[in-house]
Amino acid sequence: MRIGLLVYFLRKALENIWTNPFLSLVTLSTIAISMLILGLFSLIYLNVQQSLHQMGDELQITAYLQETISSEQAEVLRSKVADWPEVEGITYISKEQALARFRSQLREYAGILEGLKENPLPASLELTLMPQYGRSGNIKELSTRLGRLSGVAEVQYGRKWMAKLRVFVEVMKLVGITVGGLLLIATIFVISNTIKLTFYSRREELEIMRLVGATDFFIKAPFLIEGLLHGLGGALLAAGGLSLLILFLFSHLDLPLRLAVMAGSLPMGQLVAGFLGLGLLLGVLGSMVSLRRFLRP
Amino acid sequence: MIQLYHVYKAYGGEQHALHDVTLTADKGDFLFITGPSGAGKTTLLKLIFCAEQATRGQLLVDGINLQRLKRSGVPYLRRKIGVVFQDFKLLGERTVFANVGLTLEVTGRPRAYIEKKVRQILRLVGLDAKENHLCCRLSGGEQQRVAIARAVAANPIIVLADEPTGNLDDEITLEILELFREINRRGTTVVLATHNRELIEKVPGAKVGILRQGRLVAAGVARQVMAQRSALEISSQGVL
Repeated sequence: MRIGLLVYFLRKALENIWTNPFLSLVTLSTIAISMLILGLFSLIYLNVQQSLHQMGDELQITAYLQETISSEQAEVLRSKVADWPEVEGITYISKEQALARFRSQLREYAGILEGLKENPLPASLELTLMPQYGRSGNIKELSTRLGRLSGVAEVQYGRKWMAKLRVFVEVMKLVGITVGGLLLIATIFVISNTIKLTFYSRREELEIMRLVGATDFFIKAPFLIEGLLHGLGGALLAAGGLSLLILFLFSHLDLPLRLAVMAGSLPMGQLVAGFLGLGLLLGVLGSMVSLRRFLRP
Repeated sequence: MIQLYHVYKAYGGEQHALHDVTLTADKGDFLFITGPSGAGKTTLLKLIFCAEQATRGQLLVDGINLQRLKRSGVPYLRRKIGVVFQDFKLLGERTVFANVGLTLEVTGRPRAYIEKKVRQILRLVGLDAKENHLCCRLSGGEQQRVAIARAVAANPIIVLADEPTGNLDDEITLEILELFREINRRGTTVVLATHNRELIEKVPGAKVGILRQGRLVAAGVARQVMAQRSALEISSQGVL
């Protein structure tokens, strides 16, 4: 396409926007708000999911051994469990090591062990799991298998709230997809309505253009560009708003440590690019919905 | 240039707006389509520039069979045909220049070309001093000139005009007719629908087709056809 023609279409699209400045403002705001809400959902989802991934990577299961077990027996047990495919690493912690660790970690409470004649802490095997296994959520089955081994007194994998968090993330995802989908449909509808109104206000001119030989493409192009500009403008506003909101949240609110840490590694570039892409897509779809109806033979 | 073979047009129901019309206009012809109101003059013009489609029959314009022409081909056909509408179809809130330039804009012509061409056409129709006037502020005759200027701006091979002098006084009517004759002299085929018989007499060598209730009742060289019709009318009055 010739540059001159493209400039002509762009000029016409800007004329359309300028003809109804209030309408354009409402459209831009609607797109921006919809995308902002969608962006927030995506951010929270990404944040929590990424946190879960990290926690999954670090997931540990501790098998406490019976008092009667010797260090040789413990070693046999260690090498047996180390062969399991889910296990990435395994460490034997003797009673003495456990005590030393307790003392160093909880110095202020170390005094409670002073009066005891013997070391009450059990020896244990500490397992780190393969990342994909840790995230799959099937820890319970593994811990049961571990507990059945002779010499194992108790198995702990802690962080039961992780399961709850997983459910929360799934619910979030579902709500996000539903709300996001509805918002996107609403946005397409708003853009299509704006184009429809512009089309109505120029219908006489467009009718004459057709009569003097304008092709459908020539008539459609400025409206498609108008939709694109609305989508792009709304996306830029939403990206700007979201960036400001994040800056505000992380500088003023006391968020959980992990979320705050995540903020530093948020894929903001990708998110903005996604916003712009989505804005363009919404703009084109919105325009096409109305133009298809208007340019029917 | 324009060929109609047994063309029918019906708008639902049994009544035909056009009934078995066969008519031709060659390159450079000045063809009048005449007849009373409702005879089918406007419908005939609409078929030629594809605003309507014939129910039956064949229409050829510059060798293109309109019955087989795809929707995507219609704009390109229309660029070969300039149309002066009965109600002018001007954009009242736009300038004379913008209205005339529209025909060239839609073909994607560069701005410099449009400016040059529009000024040239406005000189032809005598409106070069009013290119920046809004069309709604112009008189009926001036608006008609703008409509003609728009119709010829893209150098069409055919100009269709639907009652172009319908609401104009005699003096302006003659001026407008002279414009069409000038356009015709430059080689453009002109088809002018009118119920004004006096207009036909003022164009020697023109062809005429007379429509009545959608049927072509006479066609040929205007002078001969009109003379025959007059003789017929006199004799029928004599019988009465």
